Amino acid sequence: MNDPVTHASGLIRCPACYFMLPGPWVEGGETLRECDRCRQFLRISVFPALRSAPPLPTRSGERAMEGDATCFFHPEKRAERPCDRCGRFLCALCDLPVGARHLCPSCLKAGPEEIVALPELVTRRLSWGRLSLILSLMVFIPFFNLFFWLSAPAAVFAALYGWSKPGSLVHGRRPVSAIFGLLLGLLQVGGVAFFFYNLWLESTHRAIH
Amino acid sequence: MPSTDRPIAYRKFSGQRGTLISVEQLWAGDDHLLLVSTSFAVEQYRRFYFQDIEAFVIRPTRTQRKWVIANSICLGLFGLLTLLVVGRHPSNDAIAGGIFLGVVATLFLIALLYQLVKGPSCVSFLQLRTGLERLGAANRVRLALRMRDRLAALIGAAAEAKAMAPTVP
Repeated sequence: MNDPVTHASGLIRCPACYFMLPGPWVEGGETLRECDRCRQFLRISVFPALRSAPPLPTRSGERAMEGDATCFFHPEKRAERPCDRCGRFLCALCDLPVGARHLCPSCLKAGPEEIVALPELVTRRLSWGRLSLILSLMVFIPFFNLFFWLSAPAAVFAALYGWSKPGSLVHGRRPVSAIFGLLLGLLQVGGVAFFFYNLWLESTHRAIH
Repeated sequence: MPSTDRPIAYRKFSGQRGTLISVEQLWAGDDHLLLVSTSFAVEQYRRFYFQDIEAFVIRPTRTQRKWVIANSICLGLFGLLTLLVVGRHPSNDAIAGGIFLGVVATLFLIALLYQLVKGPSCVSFLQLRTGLERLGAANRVRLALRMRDRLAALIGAAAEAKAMAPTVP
C-alpha cells in the first residue's frame, strides 16, 4: 500500500462482535487496533469509499439552459452523461449506474436476451460443458454407475444443447469439458448399443440353427 | 461513444476454497470483485463494486497455533514410539511396525511443516456500504495482506479510470 497516507473518519464494524468502531483511520495504510468492546485484535485498512458519502437515493436532474445538451427521455432536463450502451444522452434521473457502466432505462429493460447481453446483471449460470463432463464421469462412481444408462445420454444432450448457450462468466463455455463429456457419453451409449446388438445377433443365430 | 456488450475480462484474484460440494473463488473485473460460488455445474455470482468497498478487515485467529501444537504432540509421540519399537526389539515384526509408525510420524511432520509454511491464520472481511462480507479464501494473514494490497491497487486504478470517464459537453 504505497498510496499517500491520509486520515479518514467513518465507522468500521468489528467482525467478531459487530460493534461500530469510530475513526480516525489511516487511509492508504493499516491501522492495528483492538475492538473497544470484545478486545479482539484487528488489522484494518480503509479505502476512499469510507469517507465518500453514499449517492443520494433520488435525483431528478437539473433543468436544461440554452445551449445545454438535453436528456433523450426528458428534453427539458440537462444531460449529465451518455448511456454506455446506446449513446443516448441522459439526465441524472435516467442515468442508471450498473457497476461502472451507466445505462439508460431502455437498455436496462428486463428480458432474458438483455440479461444475457449485460454480464453485470447475471447472478447465476449453468455451465453445460461442466454438466456434461460430470454426467459422463458418473459411470466411474459407485452406486451412481447403476444409472449410467440415464446419465450417458444426458451427458450427450447437455454437451449438444449447451454448445451455443452462454457459458461461465469467468471460464467461458468450457468447450474442452463439453467435448470430453460428449465423447465419453457417446462411448457409453455406443457400448450399450453394441452389447444389445450382440445379444440380438446371438438370438437370431440361435433361431436360425 | 456507446460501448458494445463485450464479456467482462476477469482476472483470478484468489485461490479456490470450499468443500467437495461447493467451491468459492474471487475474480477481479475492471470495477468490481466477483465472488463465484460453484456447486457442481451451477455458478452463482456476487459482485463487490470497488466504489462500495470501505475497508478490508483482518482478524487474526489461533487456528494455526492449535494445529501446530496438535501436530507437534502427535509427531513427538509417534516419533518416540518408532524409536522405542525399532530400538528395543529389532525383529522383522518390530521393523514393520516401526515403518508404519514412521510413516504416520512423517504425515504429522508434513502437516506441521505445512502449517508453519502457510503462516498465521486469520479471517478476513470486506466492509461494504451494506455490511461485512467474509472472504473465505483469505484465511492466512500473509495471503490476506497480499490480497489487500492487490485490492488497494485495483481500487486506485478504478478511481483513475472513473475520473477519465466521458461526460456530456
